[in-house]
Parts: sequence; C-alpha cells; structure tokens
Amino acid sequence: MYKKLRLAFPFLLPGLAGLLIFYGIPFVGGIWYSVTDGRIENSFVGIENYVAVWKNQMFQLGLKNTLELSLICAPLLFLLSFVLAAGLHRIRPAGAFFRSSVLMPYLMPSSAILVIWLLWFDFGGPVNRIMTALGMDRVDWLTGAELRIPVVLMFLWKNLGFCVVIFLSALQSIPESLYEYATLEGASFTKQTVSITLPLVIPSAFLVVILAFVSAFRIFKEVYFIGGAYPDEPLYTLQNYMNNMYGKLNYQNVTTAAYIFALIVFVLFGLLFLSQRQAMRRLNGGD
Amino acid sequence: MKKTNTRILLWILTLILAVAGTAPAFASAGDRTIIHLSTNDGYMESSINAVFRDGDGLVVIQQGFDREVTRYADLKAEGEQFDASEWTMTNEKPENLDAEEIDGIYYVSYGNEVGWFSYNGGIYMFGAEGTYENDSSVIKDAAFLRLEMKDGKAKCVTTDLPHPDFSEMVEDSGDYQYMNSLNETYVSGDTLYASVYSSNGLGIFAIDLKTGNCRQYELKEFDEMCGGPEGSLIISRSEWPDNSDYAILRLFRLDTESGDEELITELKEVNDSQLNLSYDPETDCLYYVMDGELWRMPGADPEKAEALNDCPITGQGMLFMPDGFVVVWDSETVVVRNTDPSQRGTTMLRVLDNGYSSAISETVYDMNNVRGDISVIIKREYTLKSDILQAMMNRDGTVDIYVLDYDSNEFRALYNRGYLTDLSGNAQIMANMEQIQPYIREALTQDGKVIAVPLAADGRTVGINMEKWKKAGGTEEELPKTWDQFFDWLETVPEKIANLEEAQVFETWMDRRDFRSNLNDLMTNLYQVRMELKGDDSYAFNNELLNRLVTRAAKIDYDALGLHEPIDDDDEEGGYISYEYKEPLLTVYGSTTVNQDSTQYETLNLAFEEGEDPVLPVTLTVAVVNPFSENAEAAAEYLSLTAKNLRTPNAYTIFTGKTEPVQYAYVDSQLKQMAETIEMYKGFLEKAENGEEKSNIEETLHMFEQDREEMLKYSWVISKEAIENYAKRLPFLMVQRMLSPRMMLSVGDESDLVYKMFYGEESDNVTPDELLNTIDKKIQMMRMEGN
Repeated sequence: MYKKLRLAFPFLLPGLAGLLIFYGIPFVGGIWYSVTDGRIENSFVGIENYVAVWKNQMFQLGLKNTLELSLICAPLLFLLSFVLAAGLHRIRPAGAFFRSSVLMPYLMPSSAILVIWLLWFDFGGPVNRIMTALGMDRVDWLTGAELRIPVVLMFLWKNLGFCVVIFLSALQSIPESLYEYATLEGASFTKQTVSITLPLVIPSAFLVVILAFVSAFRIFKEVYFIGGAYPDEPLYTLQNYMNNMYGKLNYQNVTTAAYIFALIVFVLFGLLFLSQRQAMRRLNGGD
Repeated sequence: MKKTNTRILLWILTLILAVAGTAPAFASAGDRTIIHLSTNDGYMESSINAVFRDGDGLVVIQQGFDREVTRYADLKAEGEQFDASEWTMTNEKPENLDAEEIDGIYYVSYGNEVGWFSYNGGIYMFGAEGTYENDSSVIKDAAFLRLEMKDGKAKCVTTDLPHPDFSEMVEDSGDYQYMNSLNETYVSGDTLYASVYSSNGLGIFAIDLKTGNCRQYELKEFDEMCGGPEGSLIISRSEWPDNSDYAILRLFRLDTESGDEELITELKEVNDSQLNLSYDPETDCLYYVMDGELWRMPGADPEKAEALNDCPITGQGMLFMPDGFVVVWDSETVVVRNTDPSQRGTTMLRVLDNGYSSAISETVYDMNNVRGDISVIIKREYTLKSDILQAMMNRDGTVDIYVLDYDSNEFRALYNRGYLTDLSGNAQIMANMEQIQPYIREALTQDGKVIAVPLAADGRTVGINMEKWKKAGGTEEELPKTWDQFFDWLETVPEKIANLEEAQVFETWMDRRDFRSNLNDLMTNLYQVRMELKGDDSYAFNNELLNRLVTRAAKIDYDALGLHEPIDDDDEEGGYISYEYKEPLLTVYGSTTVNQDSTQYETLNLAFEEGEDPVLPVTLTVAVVNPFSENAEAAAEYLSLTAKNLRTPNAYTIFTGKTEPVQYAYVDSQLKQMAETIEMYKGFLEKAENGEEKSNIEETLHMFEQDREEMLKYSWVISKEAIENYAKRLPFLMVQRMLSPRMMLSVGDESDLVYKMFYGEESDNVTPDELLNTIDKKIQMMRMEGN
C-alpha cells in the first residue's frame, strides 16, 4: 500500500500544492483576521467579532435566507435530477441528444440567462400573460418574497444538467446482467430498485446532495443582479452580508461570517455523511 | 597644509551645494515646463494653437485677444516673442489672394484659421476666407499662408503653394457655411494629412500640396490618427467591452494609397481612448501618454512597451527633439520630457485623481519647482475603477494619494476603519487648516488629527432670485422659514409675480416630474443631514413630517407654477416645448457654496420644524494619503501645495477671510475697449449732421451702454453678493458625511431603483409611502449591518 502511495504522490503533488496554497493557507490565515479589530493597527480582540456577528440581525437574516433557499433548492435539485436521469437512462440510445441538452444551461453565463429570465418574469412578461390567460392575477415576480420563485427556478434550470450527468453515469455503470439475473430470479421492479439500483447509486447520490447544497449556498449572483447589494429581505443572503461588509472595509466581519457559516456547513455535511453510511449499511443488510 | 585642504574641500562642497540649488527642478535631466497657462477662475486669456519643431528649438503659436508667436532657440532657451500685430498685413498686393487695401496696406483676408502644419522646414497655416452674402455666411476661398518670423515680427505671408480644393471640407448648416479645424496634421512627402471632426464624425483628409487636390478616406469610426512607417498612417479604435472599466485600443496601419487597413497591435486595459499617439520613424517606436506617464512601444509590440517618464498632460501633439527629448503639448501646456527611463527620479509619487478637481493636476507644476527630485504621476479615473478597498486589504502602497468624495462609501470605509494617514506632521497643511472654515475643518480631522485636505466644495438647496422677488414687491420677511411654510408660500408665488413680465416661477425646462423628484431628493437629503447633526441614527424616513412634505410636493398645483407635463422622448415633435424665455424666480439647484450662480440666487434656508435652525449641506472632494504609502511625507508635501491651486469659488468656500470680490481677468481689457468705442460714438454724435443720424447714433450708444452693464453684471467670478450670501448661510452649513438617500438607492448597481423611485416614468405612480419605505428599507439594512 505504501508503495502505491509513493507512486501516486508525484501525481497528487501539484493538486495538493494548489489546494494548500489557494485554500488551506488562506483558510487558516483568515482566522487571524476574524480575531482582530480590523482597524489599521489590527489589534487582537479574541472572539468579540464572533459574538458581534452572531448577534447581528442582518447576519441572522442572511444565514436564515441562505439555509432556507438551500433547503428548498437542494432537495428539489436532487429529486428532479434523479427522476430525469432515470428517464433518460431508459430511453437510451435516443437519449444522447437530451443528455447533452440538459448540460447546456450549465455552460451559459449567468448574466445572459438572467436577461432572458427577467424578460420572462417581468410584470408584462410571458409568465404573467399565461397566468392571465388562465384567469389568474398577475404577480410582481421581481420584488419581495415572490422573487424567490424565479430565483429557485433559475437555479434548478442552471444546475440540473450537471447533477443529471452524475446520476446517469452512476446508473449506466450498473451492469445490465445484474438486472437480468434478478429478473430470472423473479425479482420485482421495486425489489430490483431497492436491492440493486439504490445501493449502487448511493455514493453518487451523496455527491449530488453535497453539490446541490454547495451550489445552493452560493446563490448570490442572480440575487445581486436583480436586487443589488440590498435586495428585498426574503432574498438577502449571507453573501450579501459578506459582500457589503467588504465594501465597508470590514474584513473581520467578512471572515468571521465565513467561519461561522463554514462551521455550520461542516456540521451539516457531517450529518449527511453519517446518514449516507447508515443508509449503505441498511441496504447492504447490516444492522 | 591640512587647514588649506579643509578650506578647499569646504569651498568645493559649497560650490556643489550652490550648483545643486540651482539645478533644473525636475526628476529627469532636461525636463521642463515651457508654458503652462492656467487661472483659478477657469477663464483662459489665450490658448496654444500649435507647436512646431524649429531646428533644435520650438515655435509656439498662441491665440487670445491677440496672437502670440514665440520661438525657443533650443529646449533650454527662454522664449523670444514676435510682434504679431501685422499678422496678415502686407505692403505689396498679393498675386493670387484676395486682399483688402486700406491706405496702401493690403489685408489678406484668409483670417479664418483652419489648421497648421509643417512642410519643407516651413510652418504653414491653412486659412479660409468667409463672406456674408444675401443673409448667408459663405466660405469663399481657402489658401495656404506661410509663417514668417523676421525682424521681431511674425506674419502670415503668401506662398507658392496652390489653392487647396476645399469643397469637401465645407459644412453647411442652412444659411451658415463653415470649415472644421484640421487636427493631428502630418505631412508625408508632399501630402498633408489631417483628421477633421465633422457632422459625419471623425474623418481623414489628404491634401496634395503640389496640386491642391483633396481626398477623403472612407473609414469606420476611429479615435486618433498619427503618421506611420513608410508614408502610412496609424489610426486607433477603442472598444469598451460591456461591464468593463477599461478599453481595448486597436491600432491599424492605413495604407494611404489604397486606403486599406491592417491591424498592427492591441493595447489592453486602456483607461482612455485618447493617448496622443505619435510615431518616431527614426527608432520605429510608437510613443503615447497613458495614466500620467510617457510610454514607448518598439516595433508595435505591447510586451516591449515601457514607461519612460511622468507626463502631466496627455496632450494633443508630440514632437521628437534632439538628444532623445520629446515635447508634449495641448491648448494650455507645453512640456519637455526626457525619454531615458534611467534618468527618472528615485521617488515616484502616484496620485489617483477623480478628475473633477483641477487643484490636484495644477499642483504638479508647483511640486516640480519645490521638489524637483520627485516624479509625480497622476492617473485620472472619472469613475472610480481602482479597487481602493482591495488595495487596503493587501496593504498596497502603490498609489500614494487618493482623491475621493467625502460622502462616498470608500471614504467612509477608510474613515471608519482608521485607514487615513495623519497629515498633522506637515507644517504647511497645519497652517492651511488654520485658514479653513471651522465647519469644514471639523470634518477634516479625526481624533484631533488632520486626515484629508479639501479640493472642492459643492452643495444645493432651493434658491431664490431676490432681485426679482423684491421687484415683485416681496420682502425678506415674507420668505418661508420651514418646508411646510415653503409649500404654503409656493401657492402664493404665481399671483405675486403675475405682473412681473420678465419672470416665471421655475426654469422653463423643468417639468412636473423634475420638480417633484428634485424636491424629494432635496428634502430626504436635508432630513438625513439634519438627523446626522442631531446625532440620531435610529430615525425612519417614513415619518409623519417627511410623508406630509413629500405628499405636498406631489399634490401642488403644477399648472399654476407653470410646470408642464413631462415630454415624451418618442414625441414626434421632438419633445420640444417653446416658451418665451423668462428669468426664473426659484431654482432647485440653489448653490450652498460660493460660486457664480450664488450671485443670482440666494438660498432659501428652510428648517423642518418651527423654531429649529435650518441645515444646509456641503459636499467635499478631498485628497487623502494611503496609510501604506512609502512616500507619505512627500505626499503630504504635495497636498500642502494644493491650497493655492483651488479654483477661486472653491477657495472662497473653503477658506476664511476671503472678502474681496473677484472679476474675470478679461473684464479690464474688454471694458477699456468698450469705453473707447463709446467715446468714439460720442464723438460721432457731436459731429452728427441731422436729426435722423443723431437718433441712430444715440440708439447705438444706448445699446453699447446696455451691453456694458450686462457685461459688468456677469463679469464676476465671485461677486460681492455671493460673498455676502455665503456669510449669511455659514451658521447653517454642514459637511455631508453620507451619500444622499437617492444615491444610496444606487449603491450596488441598483440604478433601476433610483430611476423607478425618482426620475423615471414609473416614479409618477410612486406614492410617498412607497418612496419613503424603499429608502427606509435600504438604509435600515445598511444601519443594521453596522460598520
């Protein structure tokens, strides 16, 4: 095993060096900022910034909105991408075109997509026209809490393709012979799904969940383009808070907010990891 | 012996010190400011028309009330002035030019100067002759005249060059013909090339100096032109990508025979599309001025481009001189710069200027005289593109001096985090501070330390033309003291001035939306300043008082005030409303500082509550020193010199003890000229032979007298009234520390919101509640975030 590691090390070195220089060191270095007062002398203040940021109403609002948006977006993205991947998996080889198509939004720049999105959800835009044609009232989609709907839809539209591809590759890697054998043994579709598909897809599903949450945590560009630095309260995210604090030259609060959030994310992902292990054990017939 | 040696050594040292004391006051050897025309009142008595190389020296042609021609034998020489009083006079009748003869002297009538160029060692003027026929101004002819400098006199004399074919160059606007100036002139062989701004945009003309034939090149829009290699031209085009603060400048070689273009290179991240491009054929290098520095690019290779020296002007022309010097000139300045980068000063002071205050750029010339060892590089950014916050975070001292608006978010961030250098160590700055108005001085200090120097001041509120008000029978006592009283009073104004034929309530251009949005902007801003003064930071804008005032602004009788409906931009009539011009009684642009407008308008000093003092805002532009600058001392020295370069209105606003009115420099000579004319006509009046002639002359005399009065009225940079009005406002003035609520709405790229709430069509339907709640929401969020 050590011999294998020695062989792999030269290949891993560039990547690890990049990770260390661009992520590891700044991550650790930033901790210093978060425990200083931020004035030019940069005096040590202990955990004062953590207490102040945690108590700040706008940080709380940003955190709440970010978590809420993530809890809406990530599960939706997970479910939709799984359903779509399963569908595309069944219609191969004709699904090649659709498989490529779903990736297209992921490749498009957000600013370009946003212009189209704004036109669609404008007060006099096609969405409202369809609604009035169906006898419903028009909705001001681009202000207030209603803005969350276009933002969520845009997030799904943009990120769906990538998650579908991950699920598809997982589905396609399951040997067809397993299903054939199970069919010969008289296993039902449900039994096949529970006993073959799910155990083999769970590692990829875990990856999709993580990616979905990471992407959802980063919903900012879309909100910033529409609502600016201070959007309506339901759309004010943690990134708004950090961005605005940067504009006030308050790096201390930026880093402090980032570490608090990182801690929450670590805990969340830790729980996800544990639940994945539990699920794997159960599906593999463990206790 | 030892004593003698010491004495000799001391003598040598003294000699070195004496020589050093008189050495040229520039960082690079040979650098020099030959001419710098500038006045603090913004009025230039003359401007530089053209500069040409003349052997090792220069010829500078200026035009003001009189023409001035100066020759410099070399780049170190003093100028030799030539008498240009006989500019187009000749004793002999010109053979092929129109000339009017008066008492045996011929006046060549090609006085309309179209352009200048240098050809075969001579300096030539392209002149045009215009006449007035059948109520129309017509360009009759054009000719080349040669500049002759002889016996202390400068004249434009006739030449053997053919008459140019100028038909393509004439512009016609109805009954008025004119010719556009020839710019960036360049002669290659026997062809004169020049760029010309016309109604069709910028174009290039080529005039054959042997035949006079003229050719115009069909080109796509371009920015600049200069001579290129092997008889070609180089033209530049800038492209400003969306959402980018910098342009890509593409340089093309234009084949003058075929008119074909070929891309030769690209300059990326260019801050300006005008770089004063110049090509030196001897070294095959392209020279240009960018971000306050002179650059050289060998072989059209941007990778090889290097900054050679500082350069205070971008310029509109560049000349290559002996020994590697260049002369850069524009309409105000001529400077010489050494192109040997090894001779640059050891200290480079970098200034990021917002371009709205001339004090920073004017101080370069003073700094050169005081600290010649320092090279000052001024980069101008009209909108702040450089990320100051990023620089602070990186503790980057590249820029030594920043020019910022005092109420900007950037300044506030630096102030709140203590990132402003203490300037109290500079004695001159401290001496200047003693002279600054107390309300401004207070804003420039933090914890007892001076942290900024003022460069410009501005501010506005409602203004009233007191002359008209009194003429309408109004008194000072009748004027409103509070905003509520203002709206009551406004209802009575139309009736009050009904009999005053020459006046109306507001400016003609102002429509209902303009009125409402400007007033809402003013009231919300003044309210914020008032609450800041009270030290209250927990207030809401949507309170009973502001809501009532905003409602009153929306419900006022617009028709009675003469405020018309907003004009639709798509209106087939072109959105033009024709009204007879009348002087407005009121303006929403009344200046709170000292300037020309404050002669005409006094401010209405309105409080929000009865018995309360009004508060009037002043916004400042200030310069600060980067706390991470390695040249902080030199930077402070630079800023200490800005005080004497402030524009006169700014100096009168910022400093105390300025009580003398200031008249424009041109007034004396113009008054003298007018007095002479009036005296001449009075002489004619005495000699008048009949009643009709007498009455005609009297009428003319009356007209001259009126003109003189009018001129006197508007001849003040700072009038006595402006000074008195400012003194009356002083107790109520306060430096604005935060962006106005309207500006706050645009923080973070939300210009749409400002448009919706204030200026756009949608704003007509915005209710007072909606407007004030929108402001509240944003400002509350900002407050809740904290600093």
